[in-house]
Order: sequence, then structure tokens, then C-alpha cells
Amino acid sequence: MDETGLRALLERVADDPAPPSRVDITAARQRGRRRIRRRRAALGAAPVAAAAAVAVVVSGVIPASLGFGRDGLRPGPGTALSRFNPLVPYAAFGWLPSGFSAAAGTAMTKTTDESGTRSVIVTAGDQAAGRLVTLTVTAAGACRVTGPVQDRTVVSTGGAHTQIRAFHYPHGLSCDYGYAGRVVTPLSRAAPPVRGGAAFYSPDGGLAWQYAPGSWARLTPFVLVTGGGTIRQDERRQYQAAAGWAPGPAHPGIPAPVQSAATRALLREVAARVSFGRTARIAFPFRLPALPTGWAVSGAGYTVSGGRQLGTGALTAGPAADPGALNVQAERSGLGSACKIVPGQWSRTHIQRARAAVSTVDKPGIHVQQVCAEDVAGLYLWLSLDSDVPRTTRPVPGAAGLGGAVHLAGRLRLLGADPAAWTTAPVG
Amino acid sequence: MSSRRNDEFTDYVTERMWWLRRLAYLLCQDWQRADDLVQATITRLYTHWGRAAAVEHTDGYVRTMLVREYLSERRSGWARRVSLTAEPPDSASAPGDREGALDLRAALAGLPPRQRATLVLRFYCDLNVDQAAELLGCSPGTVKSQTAKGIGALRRTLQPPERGPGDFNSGPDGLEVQPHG
Repeated sequence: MDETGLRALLERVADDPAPPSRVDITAARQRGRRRIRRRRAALGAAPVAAAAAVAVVVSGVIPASLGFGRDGLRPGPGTALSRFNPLVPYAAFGWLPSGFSAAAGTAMTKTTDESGTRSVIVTAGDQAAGRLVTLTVTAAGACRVTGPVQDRTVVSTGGAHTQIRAFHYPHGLSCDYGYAGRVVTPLSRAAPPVRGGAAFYSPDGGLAWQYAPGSWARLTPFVLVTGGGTIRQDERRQYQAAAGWAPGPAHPGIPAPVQSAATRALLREVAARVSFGRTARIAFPFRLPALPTGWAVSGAGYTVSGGRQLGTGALTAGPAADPGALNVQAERSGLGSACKIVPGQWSRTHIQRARAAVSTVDKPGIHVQQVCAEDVAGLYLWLSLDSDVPRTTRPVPGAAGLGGAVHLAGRLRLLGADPAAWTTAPVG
Repeated sequence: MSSRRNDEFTDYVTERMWWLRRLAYLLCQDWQRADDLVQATITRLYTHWGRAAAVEHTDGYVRTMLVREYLSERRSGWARRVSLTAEPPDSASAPGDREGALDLRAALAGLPPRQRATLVLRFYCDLNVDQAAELLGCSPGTVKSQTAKGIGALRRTLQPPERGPGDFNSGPDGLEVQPHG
């Protein structure tokens, strides 16, 4: 392949028929206005912001103010929260089908934006069969059921030919994921209530239900393909069948997947036994020094092992202007994580007497320092710190006081490779 | 923000939506994620619209925002953790070219994010080495090596039966391309 060939191939892929856009320009304007207002307000209210951040960490939850039955749909018995504490995952699987394990999947509290953490995402898997199921729990007020929606999707008509058809669904579930924007999931038909809460099937094979007033959760089944890659839409049924997701008989004109009654019942059972209002905290292999005034933890990734939630994904923190300014990830060394050193960009350094590498990007709009060590106190460690708000020339408030990524990494209290010694208070 | 500037922003984004979504799709390889990326980008664009509208080449400014947003998202643990799920693509390619395009999509999806971004910037956006380096915040040499490695990886993925490691020693820009171990 030469450059000409690559250009032609990229053009061809870019010309693929696109599904209807989910991008909402009005929402972007509204959210952008809120950010501008918050930024202006923060300039004169840093002490207030710090107090609010502490309140989130200490109390764990902020009760929502939404009323019951706002959209006329019956809610489940859960408690509605308008914001989640990223250090205390709010939901977990309470039961999984045979062969599934939360340990086989990964779990994540998604970093959103300065509006707070609005969703918790937990994945469980059956690696032997190549099946995954993702639980997405959104905060109160993040989602609402809409009227009819249209979705265009690919329908195989046999052989190598495909057709794109528009499907109309009676409802959609419109969810605001904060940083990631608003996503509308079509809802194909009503499902039996889940613990009394209104529920719907979605044409992607998932199940959505109102677990608490104004609060929605979704289960989405996936198929794991070893080695990555993509699955053609018309191959989806065969993969699902092979993985044991048990698609039902084909229904002409209905987009894949068509699920069997048994699979739908399985999803309803998983949904009914999801555990909400969890108070178990994530245990981290490090402790950061106190964060600057106005900073708060905005997200945390974790895996589940031995019934514990281990903070081996990235912990993010920052001020409202850049909630992801600081990223710290640590896990037991030797598990496959490696420092990706780019010659010319990285140089050697030491962290706590261990060999490490540091990269400093100092360009207009990007001022970030990253440091990585493959074995420091038995841990793989990666830390990055923005000194300017991305795409601006404004410094991240408080970042200068941290002294750069290398300095901060040197001040981390590293707790070793044994999770028994890890801490549920990773800051301060 | 004044009503006039609101209208300017809306008009600009509406006109460029097709382009933004396709560029995001080439980077993300998934329409849903592409729309998420565009949504995040135009939200940030709104907060910086005064500056964006004032620069000589607004499209370039927005393209930079989108690519850096993409790389910033990929940097987070969230993006790394969820990428193992193989969600089906949302749409089909044109009949006739379907298999080739699907193979390319799979090959592109297998590239590291910065390599993919480098190839898209060089060969879809037609940026030269220096322009791509400035956008990505790296040296021209890094862009050249990322380009060479990316093309080498695509070759290996798209033409595995006919090619051996020894065939990949000539990359674009006259660079030597080392086979991956």
C-alpha cells in the first residue's frame, strides 16, 4: 500500500453511510454557556468550591431533588442521587449468570465533567464464552423517556448485499452523560417491570429500567472478540449464538439482534438483582498528598478481584476548569502494563529510587508532563499533570503548587503490590 | 454570548457537521463514539467561539480541538478499559467495496490512537509533516516515524499472506520501517 492507496481507502471509509446524527447543537450551546458561567463564578469563589468538594467526598452522595413519577412512569424502589462519588461506586452486579464474573470484566466510574459524575459503568464477562454485559447506571435527572424516535440501521438481505433501513420506535431514552454529551437509545417495546420500575427493551439487545425516581439503568450485552476488530452487523447474530447469548428466530425486517425469551428473562433477572446504594470504597495502591484548593477527584477506574474493588484504573482529579488535570494509574507491576517510551520525547529519570521516564510537552495549548515507571515499590505507575487548561493558555488553577509530575510522583505514598495494604482514602 | 454570535456558532457547526462527524468517525471507528466526540468538541468550541471565529483558519482550529479531544479521551482510563468490547459498527460500507472497507476499518481500529490520528491527519486532512507535528504537539520526526509504523501495521494487517517482515523496510518519506517484534 502506498500513500495514494491509503488516501483512497480513508476516503472510502469516510464515505460510509452515516447513521442519523446524535449531536445536539442546542445542548452544546447550553452546556457551553454553563461552563462559561461556572468559570467566571469560580474566579471569585474558590473557597466555596473547595468546601463543596469536601462535602461530596465526606457525605458520599447528594440527594436528588426530583419528584416521583415525573414522566408518568413508575419508578423502582432505589434511591435517586443527582451525583455519584467516584470513590464509592454506587452500583454493582448482585447476581450474574453461570460462568460470568465481575472479575473477568472491568468496571469504571466514568469521568464526566465539572457538572459531576453522572454515571457508573460496570462490566462483567464470561471470557470462556466471549460474553460481556455492561451495566450503566445514570444519576437522577440524567435520562428521560422521549416520544417516538427513528433509527437507521443495517439489515442484511443475504449474500454480500446490505440495506440501510429506517426503523421507528415508540420511545427513546435520552441520557445526558455530561462530558460525553447526550445519547438517545431507541426503546423498542415495554418489558415487564423490574422491581416495580418501568422497563423497556432496546433494539441493541439491551434492557433499560427506571430503578429510582428519574433515575435509569441499562444492561447491554456485548460479544467479546479476542484480539479486537469489528463485527459486521450481519454477523452479529452468529457471534451471539456462538457466545451463548441465545438470539431467537429471525424476524424479517427487524434489526439484529432478535433475542430469545430466555435471554430476555436472563437480563431481567440480572437487572432485578443489581445492587444500588453501595458504600464499598475503592482501594488504591497509592496515596496522593493533599490536593490544591478547589480540586476534587472526578473519576476512578477499578477492577473487581476477590470481592474487592481495586483502583487499578486511572484516578482523575482537578479543578472545575480542568477536572481531568491529574491522572494517576498504578497497578501491580508485571501484569502487562508497560511505559510507552517515544524516543526523542521521553527522557530517563528516577522516582523514589526506581527507574522511570518523563515526557514534557510544552507547546501552545498543550502543557502536560507525564512520568512512567514499570516497577516502583512493586507497582507500575503512570502519572500525568496538565499545567495549562487544555487548548488554552490559562494555567490550571493550583497545578503549579504540585511542582510537576515528577515531583508529585516522588511525593506519592506507594503501598506496594499487596492489595491488603492498599487504602480507600487515596488523597490527603 | 450575543444572539448574533450564537447564530454564527450554530451556522458554522451546522455547515461543518458532515465533515466533523466523518473526521471523528475515522478517528474513533464507531459512529456512536464519533458523535460523542463531536458533541464534546463543539461544546468546548462554544466556550472558545470568540477566539475560534477570529483566527484565520477556523476549520483548522476546530480540527485541532477535535483531534486533541480524541487523544485526551484516549488518554483516560475509561477509553482504554472499554475498548476491549467489540461493538458492531453502526452502518455498512457501500456494496462492492464492503469487504475492503471493513478490513481497513478493522486495521485502522487496531492502530494505537496517536498512529491512527497521524495517518488521518496526513492522508485524509492532507497536513504536511510539520503541520501534523504542531497539531499533535510532537516533533516532525515523531510524525514521520508514527506514519511509517502506521502504514507498516496496515500493510501487515491487510496483506498478511503475501508479506513477510522483510518486505516492510521501505516506508513513506524514505524512512526505514522496522517490523514489530
